[in-house]
Amino acid sequence: MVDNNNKNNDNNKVFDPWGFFRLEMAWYEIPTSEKTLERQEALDRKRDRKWAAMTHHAGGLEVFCAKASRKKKLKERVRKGVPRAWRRAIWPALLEVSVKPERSQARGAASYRAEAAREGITYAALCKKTAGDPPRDSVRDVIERDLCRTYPKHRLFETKTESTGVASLRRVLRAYAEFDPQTEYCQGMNYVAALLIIHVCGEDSIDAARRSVNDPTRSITRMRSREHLLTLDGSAEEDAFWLFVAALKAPRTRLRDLYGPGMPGSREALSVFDALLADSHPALHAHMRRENCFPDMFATHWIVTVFSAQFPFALVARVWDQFFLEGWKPVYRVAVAILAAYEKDLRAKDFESLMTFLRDLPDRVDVDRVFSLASKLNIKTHTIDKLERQFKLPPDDDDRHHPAPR
Amino acid sequence: MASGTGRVCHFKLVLLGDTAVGKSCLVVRFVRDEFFEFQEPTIGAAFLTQSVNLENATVKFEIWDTAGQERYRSLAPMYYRGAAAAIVVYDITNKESFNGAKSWVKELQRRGDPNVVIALAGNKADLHTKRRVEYEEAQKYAEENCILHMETSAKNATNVKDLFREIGEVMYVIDLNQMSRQLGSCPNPLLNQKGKHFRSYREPKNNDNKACC
Repeated sequence: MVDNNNKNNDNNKVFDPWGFFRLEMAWYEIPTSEKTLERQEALDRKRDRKWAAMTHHAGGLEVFCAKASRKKKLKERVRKGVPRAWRRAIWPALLEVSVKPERSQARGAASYRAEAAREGITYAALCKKTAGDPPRDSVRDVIERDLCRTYPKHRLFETKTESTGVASLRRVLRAYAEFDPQTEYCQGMNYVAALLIIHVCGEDSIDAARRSVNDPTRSITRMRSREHLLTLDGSAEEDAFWLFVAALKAPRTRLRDLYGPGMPGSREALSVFDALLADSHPALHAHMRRENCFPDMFATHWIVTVFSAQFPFALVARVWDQFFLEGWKPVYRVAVAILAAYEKDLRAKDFESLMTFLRDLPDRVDVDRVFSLASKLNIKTHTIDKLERQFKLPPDDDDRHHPAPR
Repeated sequence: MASGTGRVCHFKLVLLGDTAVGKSCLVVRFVRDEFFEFQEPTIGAAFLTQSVNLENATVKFEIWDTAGQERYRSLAPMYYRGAAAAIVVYDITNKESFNGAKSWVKELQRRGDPNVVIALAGNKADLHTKRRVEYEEAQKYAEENCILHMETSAKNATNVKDLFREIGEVMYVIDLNQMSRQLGSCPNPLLNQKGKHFRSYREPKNNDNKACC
């Protein structure tokens, strides 16, 4: 009988660079995603100065992006990956940069916070209202059941004693359910909120910011002070909450559409992904079809959590860099690239081995290869728009054939 | 140890039930013999396979483990459609989850495969001090609905293998029975023996409702 009590077994417990614990292992056993990360950190140090220069002006990125050529530069740099130390400062700022104003207007955390404040809604008030033990079978009860199951291997969310991350996650999710009663809570949101908490309030991220020569934390303050209504004494958790609100509601990211009753947005995104795959990799797509392997069978968590549930953070953080700046296009690009990276393997497999392979893929995905393939994929914004318009929810009992026992 | 010889039967099996009742834990215990106190919630569904060796056959389950939250319910039909067996899971310490299980059974009877074999699993049996659903109550419900019922504990592995084995035996018998029916011979007497435990076919409740396809 195997138990997961190795969590208490401190002797051979180590944390990976992202704060996830794992057992001590030989260098050749260390997952490639972690090796990628070490290389990434060296790159980050080199890029630090560039990011400092971009946010140097009061007004931060927006002033930097006044010229179209610089906007292109920003996009290139974001695609290479925001240095880890800068994510706390840059993620909220990226949402506010208008890359393609005609498509998705820029709207960020500060704007939602200010709008709420005008209606007398503050994070503190939301937290106060939702404090206390949850009534049985309320949405808060569902949230409660997921708290200890979200990133249970992450330093911030370790669950034997109630950790700071779990308490933050509880407040953020309850406050959101109160703030947006139509959406309330949908499983998947726990990962998104936890991801933002790790990057905005996590000690690791704050330490990384401190280690950075150019002090991204100061840049946050500078960028924030532009917004008159913004209180400067807000905690990091509050920042995470409003960034979470922005990620759900902003026209660019609109995660909220995925989570509503019936989850229509999730089904739409999965069908767009399916169509894009058919377009760019017809042979692979046809093979998977023949084997009755559909994206909603393996990629629901890819879409619903924007990769944050099972993939290594080396991939997740970089997808989110691009997600905040460009919206859904880079998400689709990475989703297609993940399959494209293993096309040869996948095309040799039958239904069962396909499903098994795809199930275990997040643990061993080759992050560098995926991003390199993703950068070469030519997916057009108007194609995505068209596919989204074409999408219709299937009737209740669509008779799409699913594998029956052979 | 008698290893499975002869035929290998493949069956699609789906796990349904409210959130956090232990669906994924049951599957992980059955497939990998592991248990994680903080099993991460399933988003969408997960696919796993495992075989059970019977006396003269091997039953291979293709298992769909589904998300439990109400919000995901609209996605469930694609997993239970075509499933030959379903395990509906509730948590013996959570009365609401038992009501949830009943509504899943109802949905399967209404919209699932007419021949689907349903098993009701009362999980977290190790937490009997916090019990809110009595065994007798669930057993009575199971008998009324002709479905298999067992209390399980994914944590200490109680009844997990047995549950799948039992389902496997029932499935195997049904499979034999269908084959022999196709061949025109009599139904296997074993079916009657097992028949009292499970629902092997659906009696139409309202005959005037619609003709069976």
